[in-house]
Amino acid sequence: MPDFHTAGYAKIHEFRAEAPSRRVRIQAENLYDLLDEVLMLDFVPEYDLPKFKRAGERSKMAVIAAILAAADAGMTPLSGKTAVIGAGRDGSHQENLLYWDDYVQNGRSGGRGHLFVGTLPSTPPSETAIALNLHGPSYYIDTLGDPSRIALEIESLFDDPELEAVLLLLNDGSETRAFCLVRGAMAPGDPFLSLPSGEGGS
Amino acid sequence: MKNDVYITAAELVTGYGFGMASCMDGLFAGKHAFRTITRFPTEQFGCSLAATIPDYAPPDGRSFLEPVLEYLAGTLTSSPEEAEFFFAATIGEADCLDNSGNRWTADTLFEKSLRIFRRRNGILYSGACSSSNIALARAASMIRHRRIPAALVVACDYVSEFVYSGFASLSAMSPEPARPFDLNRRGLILGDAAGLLVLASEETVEKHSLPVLGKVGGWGITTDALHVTAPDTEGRQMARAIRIAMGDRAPGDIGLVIAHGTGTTFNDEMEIRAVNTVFPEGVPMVSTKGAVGHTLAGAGLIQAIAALEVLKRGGIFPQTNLQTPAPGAERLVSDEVRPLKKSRVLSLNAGFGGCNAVLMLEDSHA
Repeated sequence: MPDFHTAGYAKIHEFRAEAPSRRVRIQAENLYDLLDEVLMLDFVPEYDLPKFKRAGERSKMAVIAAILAAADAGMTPLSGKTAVIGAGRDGSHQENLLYWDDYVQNGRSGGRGHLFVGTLPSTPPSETAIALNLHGPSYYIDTLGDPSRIALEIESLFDDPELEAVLLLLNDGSETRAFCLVRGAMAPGDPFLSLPSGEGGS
Repeated sequence: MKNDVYITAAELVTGYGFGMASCMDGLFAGKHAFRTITRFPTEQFGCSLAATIPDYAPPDGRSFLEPVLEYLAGTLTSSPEEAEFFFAATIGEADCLDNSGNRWTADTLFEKSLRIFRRRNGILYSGACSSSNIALARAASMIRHRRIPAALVVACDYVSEFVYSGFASLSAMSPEPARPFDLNRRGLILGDAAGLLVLASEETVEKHSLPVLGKVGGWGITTDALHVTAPDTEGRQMARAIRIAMGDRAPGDIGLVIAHGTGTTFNDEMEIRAVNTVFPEGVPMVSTKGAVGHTLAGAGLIQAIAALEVLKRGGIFPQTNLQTPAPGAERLVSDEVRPLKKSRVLSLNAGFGGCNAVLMLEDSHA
């Protein structure tokens, strides 16, 4: 069993948010409305998110999932000494297509900066760190869907005694799951243990 | 008990060509490797330079990086079998997207690399332009805490139309050779790069009688959490990453800072502030990007190998293309070869999203 556990967990699938331990299930018309609905929950604190509009879809899902997972953990605000780790198997394929198709349709005369930034797989964790004011490490990993290597990464991050929490954002394109992870032995039934081999992406 | 992290193998491909010797000689000669791009049209971008691998094009049917990675794998004669595979990339070979059925992501490049290096599993790290320092830091941390015995860290990126158009769209590129830390710097120049480092614990070094090129003495990774493209020009989180990497070392223990030094206004200003904050008495500083360009995920790996060369030669390569130091950098940078006075070198990376990653490299006796 890993030497960390899930203190809070949430899932965003398209325009639906779930926090199972709180029996929360919200359906909205779009991600803007979904964010508004999430921010109205009584256990979610206020956030000022002026840059939410600018972010790509994957980043928006990451931010909402992270807010809900942190609130589910009762860790609001999260310590600045929190790492944000994105994980998946798809990098930013949809964002790559979005940028490239737009560039080609414009006669290859120039790209759009905000679409280009979205092509970095590390942008969703970075946008999440910005939204939640988190100053620990933020980056993206791909372990070929091997949850034992994700666990190795998380346990190794906790080797840093200053680090207080890790937000793990698993994305497979249509769904983002956020795990708010802290030190301490994992118990049976922890949501992290539900990741089968090959999990973490399409 | 301290568990030292040793560097036991290194290799590079850059705008100077295949092999790290040509790159190191170029850096110390103060000669840049920039040339006019011919692999795609550039008229529309207002800039046309890049540090591309000279006289290289992939054979028909091969992607750009496959033969380059195969070259690197072929140089690897002393990597322990138990080494975990760590791979660093930003976007991958994304300019093959004209066929939308293709999936050319960092992840697909990672899978390709696993095959080329004959590994069954590993971890891809993508942290924008800090990717290779992040991968090296994570590998070193796992070795120091005895989670893994050794790591093969591979990083690569190249000058594709995808990336070139993207940086042009952000008005980040210079129409002339990049001039990091110069008063009149005008932006960055991109470059091709791929490289590898092997890191190993002391026990692994002894078990396989591996050569020792140097040590990774510390690391620090932080996030600005301010803006997705612009750094915190006060350099607060970069300064924090530097201090974390230095651990209990004093500023006087550091002989050189190899900065990220892209040549853009804001990056260089941020680093000047951060370095002056941590080193109020000054410290020699230099950037490789005036010579090899900004190689994205390759940047930290080039810098680490440059640090090993600096430690070996006992000298600091000159700042290529420097004419007039920027305000605050006057005591830090020089266009001349300088002696290295302390046996520890910091290597800094900063990436989009505010990712800061710093390594402290040491000679093997430190």
